Amino acid sequence: MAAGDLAATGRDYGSREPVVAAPPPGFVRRWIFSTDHKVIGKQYYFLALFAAFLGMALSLLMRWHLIDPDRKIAWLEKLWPEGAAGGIMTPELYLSLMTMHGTIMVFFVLTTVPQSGFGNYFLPLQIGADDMAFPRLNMASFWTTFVSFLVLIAAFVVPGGAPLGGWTAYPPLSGVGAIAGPGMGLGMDLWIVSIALFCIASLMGAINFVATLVDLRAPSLGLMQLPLTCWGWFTTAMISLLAFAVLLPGGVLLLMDRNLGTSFFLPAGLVVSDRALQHSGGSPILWQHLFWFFGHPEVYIAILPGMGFVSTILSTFARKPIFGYRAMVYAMVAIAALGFLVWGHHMFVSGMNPYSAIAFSLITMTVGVPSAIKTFNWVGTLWGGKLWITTPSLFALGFVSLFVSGGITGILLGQPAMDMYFHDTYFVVGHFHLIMGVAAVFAMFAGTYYWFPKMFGRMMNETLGKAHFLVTFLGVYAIFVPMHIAGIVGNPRRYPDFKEFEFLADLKFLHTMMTHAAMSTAAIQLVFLFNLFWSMYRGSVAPANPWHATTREWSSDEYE
Amino acid sequence: MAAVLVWVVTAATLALFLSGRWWLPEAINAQARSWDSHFNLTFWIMGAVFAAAQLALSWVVLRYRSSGEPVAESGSHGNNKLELVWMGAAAVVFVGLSALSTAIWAGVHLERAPAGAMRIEAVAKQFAWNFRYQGPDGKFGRVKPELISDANGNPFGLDDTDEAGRDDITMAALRVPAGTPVVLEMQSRDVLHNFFVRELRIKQDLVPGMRIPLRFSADKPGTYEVACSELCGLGHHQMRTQLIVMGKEEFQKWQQETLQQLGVITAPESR
Amino acid sequence: MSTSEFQPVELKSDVRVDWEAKQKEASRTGLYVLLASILMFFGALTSVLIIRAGSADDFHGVPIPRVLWFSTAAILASSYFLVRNDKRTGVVFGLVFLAGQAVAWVQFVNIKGPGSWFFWTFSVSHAFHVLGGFVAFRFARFELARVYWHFVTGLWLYVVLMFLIWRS
Repeated sequence: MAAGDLAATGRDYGSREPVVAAPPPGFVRRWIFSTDHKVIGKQYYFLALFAAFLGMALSLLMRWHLIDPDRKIAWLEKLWPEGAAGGIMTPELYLSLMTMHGTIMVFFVLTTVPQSGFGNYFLPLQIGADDMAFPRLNMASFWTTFVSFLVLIAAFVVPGGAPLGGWTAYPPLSGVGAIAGPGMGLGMDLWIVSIALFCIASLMGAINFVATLVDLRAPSLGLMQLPLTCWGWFTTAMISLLAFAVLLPGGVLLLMDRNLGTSFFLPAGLVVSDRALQHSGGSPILWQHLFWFFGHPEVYIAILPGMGFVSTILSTFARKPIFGYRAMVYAMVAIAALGFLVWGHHMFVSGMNPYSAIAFSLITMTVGVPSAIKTFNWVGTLWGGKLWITTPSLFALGFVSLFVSGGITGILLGQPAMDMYFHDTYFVVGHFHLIMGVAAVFAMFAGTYYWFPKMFGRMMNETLGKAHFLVTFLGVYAIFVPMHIAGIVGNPRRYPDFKEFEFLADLKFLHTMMTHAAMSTAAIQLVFLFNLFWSMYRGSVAPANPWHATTREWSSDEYE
Repeated sequence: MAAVLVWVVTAATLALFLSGRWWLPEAINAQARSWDSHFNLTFWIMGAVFAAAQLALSWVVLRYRSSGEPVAESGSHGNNKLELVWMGAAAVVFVGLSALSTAIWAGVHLERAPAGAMRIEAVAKQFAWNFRYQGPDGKFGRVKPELISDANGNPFGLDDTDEAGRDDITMAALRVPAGTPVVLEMQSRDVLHNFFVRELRIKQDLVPGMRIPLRFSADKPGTYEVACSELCGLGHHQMRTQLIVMGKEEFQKWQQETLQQLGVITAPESR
Repeated sequence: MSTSEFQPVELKSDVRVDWEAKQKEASRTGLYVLLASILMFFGALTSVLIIRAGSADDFHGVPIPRVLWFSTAAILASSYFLVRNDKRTGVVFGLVFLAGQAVAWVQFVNIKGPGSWFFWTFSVSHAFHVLGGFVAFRFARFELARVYWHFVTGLWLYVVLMFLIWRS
């Protein structure tokens, strides 16, 4: 049977009447009160798209500032009259852009698109369910995320501006209030409230995903027959369930320290801005434990669905079943499980017990093993296939390349002795951007180009898509590889300028290169944006199964 | 296209790393030199795995690509034996590297300082460093947090009524005698800070409410920059001090002169 | 392996599926998954309590207000009536429990120190979950809402245990 015939497969409704999939009519009913998983998936996608471009704009401002910290940018003063008085970006504005960039990207892009966006849209279609298990909960989850985003953005406009404590919000800096710096007053409170709301939204989403996957699969679809995309969503939902439930109380306690005079994270004897504070007995390191117990699994929340997309996409375009399917499933489960035991590797220099560092290091290294298996199996999937080069398959290949490049440096950072030099340098920034940021974003692009025909009934333009891939792929390497080099020289991260240190003067060339690469990479994203919206209305009409894929969403008659 | 792109980035990445244009600063003690040799080991293994994986990826793309819409193709869909071998190899290399580096970690954090080690106290605040030396009495004077005042030049909150504190030297830069074991007892009085000396290959957070000892001995005289490496607020990037490693005699001379200035000891009669 | 293996998973359309039963099963799964995440929430609070109590010498326990025994009895009673399928009486005792908690909070307003913070965080977090129970009785199937309620009762016993261990 030729691959093209696959689309004929019908849906399986069993005893129930097929439900007509037309979305509810009218803008309000469709986009505000819709409980339809496809509409909710798109809502998440477009929210995250906006967040991604906002986060990218913030990063460009930072990069632009770094190559010439004294540059005057007149319009900057209009946006931030205090933060950029006279058009020159202040250190506190830089740090608040950095904090917001990290928070927006991690929570509202990396956590949102692969799981909530594509997951909501395609999970029910792939397993033959009509919708998610709890459609109203699904709607509540989206709107909570939306409100959480608005609360975060509000931090920009309140007095003092956005917080400058980084996305990790380490106390005491984040715990003592406005005396710690601009944005550490109301801005920081809004940040915490936003994250707490996001936790609740993610928990609601995770419950929905698990219940749907466990109970609403079509009768003949066993767990070991699920597409790997579903396994990605499944493992991610399990992680979210346990990790966000720990970040939430952490946020509540931090809020109490700030506003109710408690001391969970604040010790005695603090003197900030020449003011002695009345706290006692708290531990700043305790926050780090709570935060990274969430924060490390969060990395896998971002990447596991992407691993699923890439597996499916490579298999589809190589015209081969996935190489070592079972090993792939076990590897995902192992990554998800081990991910809960390695949070301490973010804290090697924090002052925690040095013996525990050794234990965390050994477990961290074992996470490399399932990751290596996945890479091996992706190459194995391509091996002996007939690889059809398209934009989605290019981005999937790019993902594998970036996953290797970003993952490999983890071997260095996972050793406490080595981390003593690299902690909080640009080496770490390069590492996590490659693996958690860019690799995951490549999976999103792959998913976007791959599923666009299903989501919008039209094809995206392939020429623009390939150009987008070409520049993005070269661009991200040109941004993040030099960061590793700067890290080897010892360049600390989170510095708004490098004027104070002699050893940093030598890195000007590298930073200029990163900035220019970042501008080019950002510019090509506008081509992507154009392609996305243009193709929605003007793209060529898509056949039912344009990639001759074998997963069920393509044979579903549900169109948006 | 994909294969060529992978080659381009692989070659460019390797070239940038191997150019040696930007690299680690010189190591200034034995500890840092053993750090360097383990770094090199890890670095070469990483580089080899990186290059091999990228080449394998580009090779399969080149070898098995097809033009146009293809039809279904057969091929291996798994090989458990190979999978296990690969898994074992990865586990041995990854965990082995970590185990090997444990000795370096232990050298900094687990071994006890020698009995005669010099004790220096470091206190960080937004955005400055202060270091305190014991005087000839070999004791740190008593401090009281309520006496801390930068305006009065008392960043430690030294209590004047304590005899032991009279001979304490406080400085904004860290001076140590070469080749002498030092225990830096680190505290922060406001937020997290981090003490990072590139040439020593060590980095340690200063945590409010904790007194964290950091042991090192710097062998090579010279002046080295200390950069705060834990975000501490809007002046984080300006929180700089120096580690000044002096010859032993030079250090003693400096110590004597400083004590004279403090009026703790009188200058020896010139003959 | 043959070419034909690269094919979609064919789903047999002649299988009769009881979707209603599946949906019920999904609700049950969703509930248990929710309980797991609530356990994580209280687990995190507990580890903070253990570390905070052990690492600083300013920690001292707090007296347990008498009324807590009253509210404990009330929530146990509500679970008892729910076991006997008496939803109305169960809910009433749930309200009595909350009233008891309110009295405890009023008595607690003036007690200071780290022990009291934990009293507040544990009891208020728990009260939110009790409110969730009322919502469940309104909207969810009775047998599921009841499982949730028993869980919340168990959670309260656990919270009381924490108070007993760290009481003054």
